[in-house]
Amino acid sequence: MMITLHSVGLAVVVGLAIAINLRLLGRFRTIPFSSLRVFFTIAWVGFLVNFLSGAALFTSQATGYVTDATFLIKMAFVLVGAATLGYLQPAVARIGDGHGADSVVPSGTRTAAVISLVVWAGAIITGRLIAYL
Amino acid sequence: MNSVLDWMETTWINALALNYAWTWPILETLHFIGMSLLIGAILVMDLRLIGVQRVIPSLTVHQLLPMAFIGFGLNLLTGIVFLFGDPHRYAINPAFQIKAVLIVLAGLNALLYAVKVAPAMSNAPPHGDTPALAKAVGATSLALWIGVICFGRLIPYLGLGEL
Repeated sequence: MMITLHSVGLAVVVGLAIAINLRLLGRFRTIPFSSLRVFFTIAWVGFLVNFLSGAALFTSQATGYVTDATFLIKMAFVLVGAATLGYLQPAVARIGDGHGADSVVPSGTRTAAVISLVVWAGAIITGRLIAYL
Repeated sequence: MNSVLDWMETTWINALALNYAWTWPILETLHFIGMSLLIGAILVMDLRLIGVQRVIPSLTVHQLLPMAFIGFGLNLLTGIVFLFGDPHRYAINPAFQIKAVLIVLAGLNALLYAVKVAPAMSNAPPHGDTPALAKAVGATSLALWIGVICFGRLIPYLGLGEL
């Protein structure tokens, strides 16, 4: 069932985005930045699952969704969220390979991590509210 | 059993859930955010337990435990409000029943990790491969929590029977 896949994918994408972003913001300092690559990959797998299951859910009620402001705002959040992941992945690769558990995270990267946390929360809030508004 | 369910409907938690139009959607949103916190944290911990990303010193993934517990706590609290808000329907809902069993099993699995696996791993090299039991516990945890999500999401679809 598409809606269950969509929930699992959501938890994977947003959950790993939260873990990665908190690492960039100074938590979980024993987790080397070089180990984050695999978690980006898994997050993208979750994103793909949700792109496909979301497309299937969309086509079941396309005319309703395209005029739904809540849905459109959610799509904007998801786009920006994906963009932050796409921006952060090479940025994390540049930070280094784990020798510096205390490697300095550039302020631009930290800003992107905060934006990423906010927009993914926004995507969940608006996504859930589609059913109510 | 029925008297417990009846009592739940007389509590202030039931009133909180039903008397305000926004309680349910707000708590549902928090339930999804808690789910993400829990799943994100256990993905990192369980994959390391399975032996993926040995560059991470094995037991240091415990740093993610607060993220997992905050997510679980948030979902336990919001989940209790849902349960008190509609106790009779949850009690007979097969998806909810399966979800509850899976959560208990995941808890027992976590207990097995804390009692047996983590102590054994504390003496092992931090970047080495993990014992077979650790891999089994990690894989079981991931499978159980994914099951919890699936059956949780199915509650509104499998619970349409008459009271």
